[in-house]
Amino acid sequence: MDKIKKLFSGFKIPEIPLDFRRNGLAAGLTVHIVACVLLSLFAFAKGVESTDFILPIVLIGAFFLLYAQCVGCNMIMVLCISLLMNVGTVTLVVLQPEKVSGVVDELWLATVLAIIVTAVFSFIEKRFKTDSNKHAFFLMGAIWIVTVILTVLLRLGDGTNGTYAWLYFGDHQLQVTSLFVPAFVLYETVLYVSPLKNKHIFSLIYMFTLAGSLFICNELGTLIIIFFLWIINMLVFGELANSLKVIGIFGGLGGIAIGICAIAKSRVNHLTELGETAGSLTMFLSQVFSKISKRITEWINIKELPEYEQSAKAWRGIFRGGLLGTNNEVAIGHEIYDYTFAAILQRMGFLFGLIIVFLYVLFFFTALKKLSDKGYRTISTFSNIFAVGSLIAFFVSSIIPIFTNTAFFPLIGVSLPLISSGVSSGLISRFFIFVVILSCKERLLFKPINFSKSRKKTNEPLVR
Amino acid sequence: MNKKRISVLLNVCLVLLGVWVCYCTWSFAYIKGLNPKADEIKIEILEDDVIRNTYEGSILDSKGNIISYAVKKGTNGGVIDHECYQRLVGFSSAAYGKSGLRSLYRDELWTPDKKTSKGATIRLTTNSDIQSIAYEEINSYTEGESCAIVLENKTGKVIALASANAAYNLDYNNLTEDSVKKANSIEGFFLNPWQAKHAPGSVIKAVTGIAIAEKGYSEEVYYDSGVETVDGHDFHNFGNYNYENVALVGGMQNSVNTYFAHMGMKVGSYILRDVHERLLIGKTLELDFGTISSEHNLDKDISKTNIAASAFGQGKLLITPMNIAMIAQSIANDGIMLKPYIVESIITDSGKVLQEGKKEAVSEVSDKKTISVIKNALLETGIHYKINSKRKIGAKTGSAQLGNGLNRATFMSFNEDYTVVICVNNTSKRGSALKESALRIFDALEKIK
Repeated sequence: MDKIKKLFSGFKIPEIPLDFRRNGLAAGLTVHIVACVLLSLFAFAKGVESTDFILPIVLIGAFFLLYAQCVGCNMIMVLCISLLMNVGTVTLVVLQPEKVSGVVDELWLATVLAIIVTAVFSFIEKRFKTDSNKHAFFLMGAIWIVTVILTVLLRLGDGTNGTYAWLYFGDHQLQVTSLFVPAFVLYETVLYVSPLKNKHIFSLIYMFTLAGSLFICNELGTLIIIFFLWIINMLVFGELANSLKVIGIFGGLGGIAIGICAIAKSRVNHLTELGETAGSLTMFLSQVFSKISKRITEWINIKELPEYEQSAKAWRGIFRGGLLGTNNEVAIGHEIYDYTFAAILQRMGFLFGLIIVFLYVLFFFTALKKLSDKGYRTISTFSNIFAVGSLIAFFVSSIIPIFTNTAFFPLIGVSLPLISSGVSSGLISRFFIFVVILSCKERLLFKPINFSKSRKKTNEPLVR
Repeated sequence: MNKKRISVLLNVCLVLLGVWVCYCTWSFAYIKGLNPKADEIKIEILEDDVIRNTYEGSILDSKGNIISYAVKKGTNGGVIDHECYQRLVGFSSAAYGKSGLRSLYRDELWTPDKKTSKGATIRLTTNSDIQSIAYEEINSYTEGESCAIVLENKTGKVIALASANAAYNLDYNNLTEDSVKKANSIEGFFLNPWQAKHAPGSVIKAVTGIAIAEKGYSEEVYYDSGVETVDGHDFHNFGNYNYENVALVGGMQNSVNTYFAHMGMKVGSYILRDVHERLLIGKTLELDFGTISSEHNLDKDISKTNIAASAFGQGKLLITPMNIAMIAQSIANDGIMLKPYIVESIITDSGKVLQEGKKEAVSEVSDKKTISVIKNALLETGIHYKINSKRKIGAKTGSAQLGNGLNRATFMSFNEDYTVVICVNNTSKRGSALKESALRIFDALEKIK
């Protein structure tokens, strides 16, 4: 024993050279590269032969970390996002190795677009006066009009995969209706920071406009996200009861009106036009209900669904995956978009899926804690509330695909933020993340970073 | 923002996620035995996956000719000469279900060999030439469903087993949703005609004949006046004929109902039931190509009228064409009833033998002397039917009336080596109309010897 003690007598465990709080970029990059290596090994274990994906993962992650570090984001949040992004890229590589270059292009495009959208948001935020009803009306009206115009234009265009929501950028396509989610968050934020009264009525007007738009565009996935987002917003801001009262009153009156019109049409000849209007409205509503009931019926009878249905494929895929995943070649199909989580459960297993869920939850809780803390309200109340809304939107957008992909909730494929491929999904999820990070600053923007171990400790507050 | 509401929201999220984890564990069989239904679904899905990556095993006839051979993974092999074999071979489809041998031997056909990813090869006892002729013969009847059975008397091998349905000719090689729907709309379409239980008609007189011979009444002459009255119920012959002095051979040749009603009464229900049971009537029999079951009502408390009716085929007796073939085979084989089998062997690509067909006696119907009496009576009946062939053919016809003006016509026949049974259901024809078909099959059998 003595010999061994002697042998190690001169050996000292080196101090960790990096201060994780002050030198977050270096720490983040280290974690990121380690994660890249581990996940790459995992991808190879899953039968991926190409190494093309490693550099893009490192670059995208490093780019993001640089940005996050520059604005001084909390390390746990950065870590969660970094891991989710890495998992996303690796998952896509494992699922569709032949599409690596296309996927990376899409992610870059989404990131650039997200920066532009964030800049536009910053501009709006600077110009917006929270105590002005005029500003609030103008901004909310503008959002409403843009939504309606976009809906009409989209419906006039061609449908892809059954939805009317696409804008083309060369080889890539953007699902414009996805932008309705941040638009909804912005609208709600403007509403709640403004001195306007009867906020729940304004909220309902836009919520129903979006519901109609998304139904017309056949984009039920986004509709579900917005619906849940609205309910959560109403709960958080204490307006749910008032909103439900309004819905009840208008729903009842609308029902009575439609009933009267329908009876009138059958009894009085000269009321034909009125009756036809009621008839069209009834037909529209019956379409809504029949679509919803069809989804619920499919959900209940998922075992009976033919295997070519995406939802049935996803459901069967999860069975195949078990706890640790399988290399089974039976593909889920469209897995890089709407059924990503089911594809992950099939190829990587349920335990891996749980890790992903944990990362989302950890990010959500950490960010929400920071945003609720007054010390982090660095820019403005508007920014803070918009960030909370964005965070909730991001979390709801993460949970809904997890629930629907596993048939825990009536079926619909929805993209998984930061993991699913595609410009629209990448743009929206990155935009939300940027907004949250901007509001969770821990130190000044572009403050010089000192990597020196001997840096003197100061009492300078980290939070502006 | 209200912090209380946010904390409620967080708690709701956590609870929801907890419920979700429990739901996934329960629904997707992550813990074996927790949810037996989920376990079953998982097994089914994994089996489907194996099938997707497997070539279905081939099916060959006794000479090694290909009946079915798969060229694509995960799909049924195309059945060559498929019309005569398609109902026997059947199909196995995730969308439309399973039938025939593909249903019975699904595991063997789809369990892949590690090297070749191919299922085991099934070699049948059938002869494709005979199968083809048998199918052509029954397919010429444009009414109802029909079947032809050819058994080898000394081994029990099924040489041909053809089925057809005049109502609709479903192409098993190219199933579509519409074609399967149409077939399903026809009552009992997917039920094999050789498995269907019906009243046998006069062919059952061969069974009563065994009981008569066993009791030593075969030479006893019965005076047929055209009517036999039992408990006030009158039984007549077909066409109201009367044959005056009739013994067993005469009774069999002319299918004299009154003679068999009278002799059935004389033999008694006990002996009749005993003979029926030795012929496995009233029992369920598992064969390697399906299950057959039959029933009789020769109970202890059966009325005299029912005994008389059962003796010539009008009782509550229900048997399958395969039962009739087995009865004929046992008479031709000196009273030893053999279990019919169609699978000669099942061998994997690596040479492992999974199953081998073998001769198996299932019943000793009666002593040789008794059997020779009934055999002789049936051979004489064959002569009476004017069936001309190189060898003597024993035969008996049956025409059970179905009540809608149509019959279930049966022709039971055998020579020294083979048994041939043809049944046509819902037909205006009588059993005797099928004799030419049987004769053509016998002629073909002579050629393969």
